Amino acid sequence: MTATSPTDTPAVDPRDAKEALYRATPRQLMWWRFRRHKLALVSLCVLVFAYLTAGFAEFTAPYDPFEITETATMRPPQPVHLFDADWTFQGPFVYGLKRSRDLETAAVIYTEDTDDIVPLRFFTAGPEYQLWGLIPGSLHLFGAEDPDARIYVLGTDTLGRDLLSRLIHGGRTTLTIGIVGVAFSFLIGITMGSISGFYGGRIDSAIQRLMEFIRSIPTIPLWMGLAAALPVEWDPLYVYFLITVLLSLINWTYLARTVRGSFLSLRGEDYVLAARLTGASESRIIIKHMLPAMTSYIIAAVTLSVPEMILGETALSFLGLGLRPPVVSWGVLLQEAQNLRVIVQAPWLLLPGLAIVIIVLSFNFLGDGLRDAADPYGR
Amino acid sequence: MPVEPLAPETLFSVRGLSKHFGGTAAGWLQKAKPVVKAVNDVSFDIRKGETFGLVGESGSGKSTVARLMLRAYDVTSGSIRFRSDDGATVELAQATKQELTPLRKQMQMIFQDPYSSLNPRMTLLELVGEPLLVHGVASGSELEDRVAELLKLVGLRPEFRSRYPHAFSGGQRQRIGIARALALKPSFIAADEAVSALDVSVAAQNINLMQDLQDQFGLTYLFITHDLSMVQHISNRIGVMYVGRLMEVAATDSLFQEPLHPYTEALLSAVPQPDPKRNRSRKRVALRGEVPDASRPPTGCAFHPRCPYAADICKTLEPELKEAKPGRFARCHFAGEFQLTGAYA
Amino acid sequence: MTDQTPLVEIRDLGVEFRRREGVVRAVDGVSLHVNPGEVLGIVGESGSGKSISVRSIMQLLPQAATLARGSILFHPPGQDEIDIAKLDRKGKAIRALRGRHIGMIFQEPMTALSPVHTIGKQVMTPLLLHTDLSKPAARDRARELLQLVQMPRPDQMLDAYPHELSGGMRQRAMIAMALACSPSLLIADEPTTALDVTTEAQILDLLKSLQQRLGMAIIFITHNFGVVADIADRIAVMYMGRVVETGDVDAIFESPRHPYTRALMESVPRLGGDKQRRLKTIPGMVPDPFELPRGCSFHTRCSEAVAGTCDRLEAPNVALGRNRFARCHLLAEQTAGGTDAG
Repeated sequence: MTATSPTDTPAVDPRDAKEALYRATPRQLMWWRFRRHKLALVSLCVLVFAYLTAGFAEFTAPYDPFEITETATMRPPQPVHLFDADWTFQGPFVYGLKRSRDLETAAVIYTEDTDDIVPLRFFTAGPEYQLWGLIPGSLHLFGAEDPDARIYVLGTDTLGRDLLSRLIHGGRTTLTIGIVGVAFSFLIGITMGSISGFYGGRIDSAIQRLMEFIRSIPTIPLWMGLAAALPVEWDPLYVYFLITVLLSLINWTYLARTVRGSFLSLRGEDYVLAARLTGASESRIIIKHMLPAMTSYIIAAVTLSVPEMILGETALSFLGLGLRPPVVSWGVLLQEAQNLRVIVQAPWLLLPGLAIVIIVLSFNFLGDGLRDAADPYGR
Repeated sequence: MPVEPLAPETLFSVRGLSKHFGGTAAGWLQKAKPVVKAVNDVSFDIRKGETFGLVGESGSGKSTVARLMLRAYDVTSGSIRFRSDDGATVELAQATKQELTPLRKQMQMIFQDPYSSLNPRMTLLELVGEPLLVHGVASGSELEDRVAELLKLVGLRPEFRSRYPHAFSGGQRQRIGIARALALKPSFIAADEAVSALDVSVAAQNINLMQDLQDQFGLTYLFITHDLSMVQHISNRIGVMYVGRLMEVAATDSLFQEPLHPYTEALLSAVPQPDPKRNRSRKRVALRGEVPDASRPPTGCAFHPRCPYAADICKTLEPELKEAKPGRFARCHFAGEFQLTGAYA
Repeated sequence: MTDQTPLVEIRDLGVEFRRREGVVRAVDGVSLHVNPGEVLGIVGESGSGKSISVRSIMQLLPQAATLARGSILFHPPGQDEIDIAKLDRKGKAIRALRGRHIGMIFQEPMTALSPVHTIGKQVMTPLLLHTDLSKPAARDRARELLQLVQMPRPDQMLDAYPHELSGGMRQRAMIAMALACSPSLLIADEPTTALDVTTEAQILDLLKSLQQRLGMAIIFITHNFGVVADIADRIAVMYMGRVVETGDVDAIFESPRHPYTRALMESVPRLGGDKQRRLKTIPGMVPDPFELPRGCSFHTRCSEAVAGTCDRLEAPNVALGRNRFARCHLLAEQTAGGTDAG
């Protein structure tokens, strides 16, 4: 060969830690970088937990979310204990509640009865259900040892329904609305964004102006108008579907902008030109060179737009324009906690609000972590 | 349309090449963009096996010329004739995509930025092997062998082929770029500021490598740079560009000894020398002002506002590139009439 | 050695970067001095620590960097000596020095100039901050300064914004800003690297004439041997966080003594020089800053390295005459007894 061998680097040992770094695939590098964001990592765990819980709602929820118990309205949460009043270990249990009435106001008062220990057991039989409407079962994650006793860990609502069960079932609706809605806007966004970024010129300008037009529409009045147009007698499932489509029709512009931006910046990269000059076809350039660089950004952008969807659903339902009972969603649950009397007497009914905050924050933290890890080659 | 055949020693012949960017009128949906005449009536030949240097300051259009020759851009006007491996002369300026694809094997490019010119998400095998794969030259284990060979050729270990570019320094990345350019055994390589981003000691290694490869494979180089010392070292002939125009073309020695264009003289005198005594004794041609914007070039000769020799004619009439002396071309009304100072003085 | 008190004297400076992979000694035992009215050129490749060591004089180090050891003694004319290394990097004392006694210009004027303020306003800022000039007086002074840096149409330029200026004019504006309070030291960090050759020549000429007229000292950082030969009185060559050779400009270019200086100079082609087919190169690569070689940090690439000495012992700083030092074992042997453990 030639007389040049100026780069005398030591031999390659694939087991070497450095060599592992040199051979690390983009995905590995991104994971290493993502791992450094503790908050994003925790958020990821929270979200996985939330989606698993909601996914197996029939199993994880101790009771039927629609079951009304007249004798147990507005019961406060029952905290879970391990030790009784004498500090003897009892395993997980809750104290029973004594129901009485205030003699003056005639309001129901619940008092904790420290003598009445209701033991709590995992994987017990409880009310029967059909998992995802298909698989019949009666096994629940936890419940009272005594099949006749009831445990309301988060209390009950004005109709005596178990709030925890409603929260879990409502989560299924709210959390999937986020994902399904983003899937819709992803489809529209990526199509419009790539057309805009790839072809440029007139088409790009037209799509840009369309996006600006959509973004300039005041959303709440638009939603109110459209939601009002939905017939009341429609199946709640239809309404659910339409709400998501509605939300994504506005939301796609954010994703389209991200996709367009990365198309534009990648089109100017030297390595894309280099590939073109070797004679690579347009489709090869897009598939091999541009898409891999874009996916990570798109994933981050998608993650960051899920909370928009969740908040949108909540806002609509809260205003009574979105989902309506009997469908349970976090927005619907909050709507039930709308009046002042309820908030004063049963503040635990605001707990779905806390759930929303946690989920939205988790998505935002996760999205931030992903966005930072998206380009592990940053200089 | 028949193409006039090139003389056997000529590889490239560029005539009246121009490239205008922008120039869209204001419409309903977009704002107007002014015309930027990045390259304006450029003509020169590149001979087989030589290194043709193209020098100029930023905005002179030297990179655009190279990209036009490789047809990374569409040509606004002019002709680019290229002598193909089979001896036929092809006209590249108006060639279609289908016509260009087989020709791309014969001409390649080395980029300035060793970071952005390699896809960070591909291993060396994929990067260097891509041209071979695209043209169906090799695949599978044969591809691996070819890539290993190419890496060895540029002084990198074949085992590096499973590594990603982030494992390498700027100079090594540049070598990977050279290996990729060599993959299809081209006859012509355009090196666009190929060593400008590197430290001096690394740049010297890569320049030597490029010269070795030229000797070994009989390559023809178009070497684009703003570094006059480097272009003098590597080139056989040199073109000097200014605001999209080719101001002077000559063999390296005669250009440095006795420039014919005042801009070349100014450029040569502006380079600070690693020799303090010479710097002190030498008289610098102090140029007024700065390089004009290519979207608003001066009237007449593009250099006249800064030219110490400018006369009235220079303000109104743009000179042509003419043969002032045998084999020496200059775009100046007074080419050959002044005694200009070279770099050897 | 020197017959006058230096304006700035850096003694055994060490700057460290803390990274997850470990500690990088970006500057490791640098000693330098600048006399009043002198131009000191610092040459080195990327990663040599030239910029970091000089930025320490302004306490302008990146967040991750710490001044680990050493002292930086500054003697402002007519004032007591200050050890800058001991000052708080955000404190009042260092801010009083920056812009007042020490001015700085950068490679990229656009990052140093604010895009939302006019040139006039930015040149006036240090004046209003450090002197008791009134606003109109400061504006007049700003106009004078723009004239001083040979800015075309200074009256118009006072009200121009940086983006309206070309690269060379921005650099002039930044020089005007740096010189506003007539500092005794100007730090120039690769100020011509991003410029075209003809503009570079203009800026170099301007700096030289300003230096002669105003008499300030300049520390000029560059990787270009031509530029440093053009402007500097004295030179320090840096490699891997150390000064490997220092001396008067003529002496260094005439007879470079350190193998690195020699190799570096030979690897640059010379304009109008003898035409050789191959360039001399320095073999190998710059070492990984996390795994610096033992002994002399250049021994892995040095063609003259002696096994047993250069790869084991740190190279001594050898005095080679007036103002002239080089860090090399070979030179220590040649001039036995002339060592100085600096």
